Amino acid sequence: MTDIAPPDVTALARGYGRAVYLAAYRVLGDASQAEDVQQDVFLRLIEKPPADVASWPAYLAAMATRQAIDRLRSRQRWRRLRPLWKAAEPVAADTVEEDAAQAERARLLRAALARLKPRHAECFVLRHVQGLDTAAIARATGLTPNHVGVCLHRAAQTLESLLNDPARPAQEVL
Amino acid sequence: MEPTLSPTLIRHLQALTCDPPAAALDAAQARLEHRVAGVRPRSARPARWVGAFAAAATACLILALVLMPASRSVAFEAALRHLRDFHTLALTIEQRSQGMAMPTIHVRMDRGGDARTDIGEATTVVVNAAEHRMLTLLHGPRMALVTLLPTNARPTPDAALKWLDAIRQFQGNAVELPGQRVIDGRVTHGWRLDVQGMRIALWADSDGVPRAVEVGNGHVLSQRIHVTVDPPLEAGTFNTAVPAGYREARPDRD
Repeated sequence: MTDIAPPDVTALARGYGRAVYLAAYRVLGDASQAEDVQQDVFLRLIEKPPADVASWPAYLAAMATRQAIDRLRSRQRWRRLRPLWKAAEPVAADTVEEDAAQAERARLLRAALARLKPRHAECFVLRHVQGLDTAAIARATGLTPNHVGVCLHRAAQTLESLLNDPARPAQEVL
Repeated sequence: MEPTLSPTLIRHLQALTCDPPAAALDAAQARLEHRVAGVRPRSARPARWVGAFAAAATACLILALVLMPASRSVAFEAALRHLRDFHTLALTIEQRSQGMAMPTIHVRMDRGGDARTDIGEATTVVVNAAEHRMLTLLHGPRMALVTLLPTNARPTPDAALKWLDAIRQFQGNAVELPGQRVIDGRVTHGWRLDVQGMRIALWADSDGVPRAVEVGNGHVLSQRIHVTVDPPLEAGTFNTAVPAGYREARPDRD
């Protein structure tokens, strides 16, 4: 065979819509933003179908994670511009009834992820939140496994440092 | 080697694993499916010049049909004949279900009804029509199951081979597909057949030798089949003796 059929986005949305939503939700902690990411991911597949995908779950998880991190970063930037509002702003609509300490840890980690280099944050989330192994991350992101390893190492190092010292200036890790 | 995460970082990671309310997830999923179903690919969106282009394309198509060399339709008839009258046939079937790749199936068969089907690397099924025996091999646990077939049993097409039965019985008008493909180094032309509820695309070379078949439109199950007509088959292809190293299991009595 010489050509590749475009993906059936309707079937993919049916099969993986929930997984994409959850992948985005875990990064963002916000139901409406997770839904935006979910819709963006599948609409982009329609607009620009990828040529060759080895594993749809890994590919979609990477897309969702990348977009969620982009949103996380812009959300953090926007919050920094509104310091007076920041204290009064709810962490996330769906975490109200959860344990406060757990919610605070999630908030701190999201804030730290937003300060990593996007590629490092993407690899870290795919590995430690979405549960992909290094080879699957390499295939989904187009990086070499070695490069993924370096990203994971640097992301972990920076996160450890940021979580122990949240006041550390952002320019050191951007 | 992956870095070891500190207990602090692990605790923060665990805080991210909380799931949204099920109702929010269900509602988002429903809205997604509705939205995706209503969107057409950009290439299919009409542009201002599409009307003129469509008219020109229609004119070209009509002209092409009028001028279509007789050999093209002869090739299609020959392709059907090959699939009806083959001596041996080898098929490589790639299947996708809802966008997901399924194990590749390799089939070798002859006109006497013998067939050998290898499903991925997990399972082989050999049907020997003359001996009325079927051998199933599970390669993982290295188990074999021999089943005797009723002497009056007529071979019925396996689900993965319904398209072949449909093509062999096809008597309607096929629609020639635009363009051409190069398969196995040969230029091929395609025809679309709507038969027995299936949409089948058959690609054959100028000698009428079928080279590929596509079944389905990808919504539920789609198949792409690479076809080789009358290939030489190894001796023992349809041998139903339990191979060395395999433990024979007894069929269930009920």
